[in-house]
Amino acid sequence: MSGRELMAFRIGAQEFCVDIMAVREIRGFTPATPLPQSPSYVRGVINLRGAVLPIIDLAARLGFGTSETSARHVIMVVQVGQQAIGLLVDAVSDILTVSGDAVQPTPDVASEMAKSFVRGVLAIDGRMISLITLDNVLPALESEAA
Amino acid sequence: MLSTNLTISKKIAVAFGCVLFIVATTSIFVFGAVRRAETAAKAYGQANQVIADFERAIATQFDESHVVRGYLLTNGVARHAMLYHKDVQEFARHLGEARAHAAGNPAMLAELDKLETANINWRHEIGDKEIALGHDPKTLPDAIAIARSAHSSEMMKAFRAVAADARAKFHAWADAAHDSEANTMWFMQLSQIIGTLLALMVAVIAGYQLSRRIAFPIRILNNCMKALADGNTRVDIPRMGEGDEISEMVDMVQTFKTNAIEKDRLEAEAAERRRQAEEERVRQEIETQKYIDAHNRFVGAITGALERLSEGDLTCRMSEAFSEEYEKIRANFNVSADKLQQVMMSVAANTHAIRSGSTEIAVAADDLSRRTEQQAASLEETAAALGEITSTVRKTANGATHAREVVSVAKSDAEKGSGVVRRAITAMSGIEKSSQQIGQIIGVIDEIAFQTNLLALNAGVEAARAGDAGRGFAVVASEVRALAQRSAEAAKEIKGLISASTAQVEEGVDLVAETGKALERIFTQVAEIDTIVSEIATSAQDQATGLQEVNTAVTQMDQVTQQNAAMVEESTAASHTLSLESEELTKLVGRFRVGEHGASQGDQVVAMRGGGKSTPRPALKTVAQRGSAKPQVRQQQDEWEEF
Repeated sequence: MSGRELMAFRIGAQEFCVDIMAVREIRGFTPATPLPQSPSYVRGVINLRGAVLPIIDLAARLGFGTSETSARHVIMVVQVGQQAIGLLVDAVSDILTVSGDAVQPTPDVASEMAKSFVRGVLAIDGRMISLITLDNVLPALESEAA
Repeated sequence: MLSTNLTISKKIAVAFGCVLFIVATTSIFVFGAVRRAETAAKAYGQANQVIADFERAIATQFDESHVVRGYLLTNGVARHAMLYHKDVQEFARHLGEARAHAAGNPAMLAELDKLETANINWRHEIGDKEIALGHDPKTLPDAIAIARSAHSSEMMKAFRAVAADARAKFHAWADAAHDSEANTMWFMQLSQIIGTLLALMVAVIAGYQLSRRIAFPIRILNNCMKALADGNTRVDIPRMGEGDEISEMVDMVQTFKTNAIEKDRLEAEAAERRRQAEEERVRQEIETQKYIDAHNRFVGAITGALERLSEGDLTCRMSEAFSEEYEKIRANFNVSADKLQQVMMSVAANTHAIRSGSTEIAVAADDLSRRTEQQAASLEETAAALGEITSTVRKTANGATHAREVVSVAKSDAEKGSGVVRRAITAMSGIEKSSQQIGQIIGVIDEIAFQTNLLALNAGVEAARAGDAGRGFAVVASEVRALAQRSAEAAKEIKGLISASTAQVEEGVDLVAETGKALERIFTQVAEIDTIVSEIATSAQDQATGLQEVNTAVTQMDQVTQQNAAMVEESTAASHTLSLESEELTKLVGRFRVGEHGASQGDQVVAMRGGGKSTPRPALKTVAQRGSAKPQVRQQQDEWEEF
């Protein structure tokens, strides 16, 4: 078994990755329509081939502050449970093919909150890539899932 | 009758006016009388005509009564009745004519009306009835009864009375008109006679007065004037006429008389003056003879004195006394001789001075001649030096002209350089524009690479979803992604290069602009240099021209100096001649006898001059010495002027 495939992306100088099977599609950035009374990390919604797609600013969600969007930003459409959401990231780096033991667990120094977002950390070729779990990206979804 | 203070013409006019007035008045009276006589004659004629018509009417009335009787006698023959009617018409016609003639006279017309009434009454009462009854034989006796009746005769008698009364009145009118005519004629004749007599009387009186007041005085004046013309100034002229021409003529004749008396008086005075003048002339001739004698004596004396003077004896004086008018001349002569003697002494003294002066002049002229030659030599050298300077300046001018040409070439080059710089700036901006376009294209390529990368990632996602079946596809996708990344990197590199190139181009544009400004400054400076060099060239040209003029002037000076040198030679010769002449003059002056005093003075002056000359002195001091000599000369001139 060659292991699993991961989609690596960047937020600022940091690299993250998600399971490729959760990724549905990758798109260039299009301006989102803001939703009233929404949390700060929710950018709004966009029209994806007739379906309403909520956009989450992942940087804001992860606590790095709101992203300054540009044409080079990328929206990663991911499937979380039954819900498709768009994650706003700075850039998509590449598709990683890693063995299962390459993913090291998150150190204990991180809080529980951090652990709820980061499932593990990959150290490949001198790079440090955090594996993001998408379950807690949307709190509402979390409750729904529970 | 005629006032005395009227002019003659007015007097005559008044006389004739009176006569004419009387004649005109008489004529007016006569004219009025004639008019009245004419009226009376007309009334008389009218009355006579009315009487004639009246008489015819009465005759017709009687004829009517006769015809009626005839009618009754012939027992109503129709012819008589016709005659009766004819007579009635005839009566009416005659009466109408009488009325026509009596028109304008109501009294006559009234009488005629009465007559007509009587006639109509008779015809109504008698005539018409008898004619009407006589027509029928049965009534004929009634008619005869009427004819025989007393009424018939009364009616006829009444008619006769009316007719007689009217006739008497008409005749009375006719007589009155005739009498009036006769009276008027008499008055007319009387007026004529009285008027004529009055006119004759006035004419006679006027003639007498005119002859008394005009002709008589004129005759008297005529006699007076004849007497005056014959030279009788004692004739008495009576006063005549007052305020008219006669009195004026009297005044004139009186004036003629006064003038004649005055003329006689003036002739007598003139004769007296001629006599006095003749006496005066004789007396003057005697005095003139006396003058001539004294004059001859004086002329003899003065001729002798003047002869001595002409021989050079200035000591000669006139000692003899003359009459007082010549005494002044004698005194003047003596004073003149004194002055002449003094002057001659001065001349003798000055002649010595002139002789020594002329000798000095000769020496000075020699000096002057030598210095003039030196001056001529110096001038020639100056002229040569000036020629050299002139050629140098001309070279400078040529150099300046050449510099100006070079500078103008530099100016045009600088102008061309700024044009090139402008073109370079344009080219640089073109490069800048191209770089921008390249940048845009690179952006497009970068975008394509980005999109390709996304597509490749999606492809990778799909391949991962496909599991083992998508493995090959995943490889292709990763290759495509690698290509996309390479192209993105290449684009990024090109972008960096382009931005670097753009920056360099901008720098180049700035540098070129600065070069342009520098060139502009160079251009301005070159223009300034051009102006300055032009000025230098012009100045050099002017200098050359000025130097040429100076050269000409120096040449002229040279010539003038040469001429001066020649003239100095001449003046030197003249000064030598002058000293010889002054020697001669001294000899000539020595011929005058002026007494001992003057000769010694002249020697003194000569001695002084000789002392002055003996001291050696520099050339410049000669002027000072001459200056000191001047006052003495001035003094002598003053003496001459006084003389």
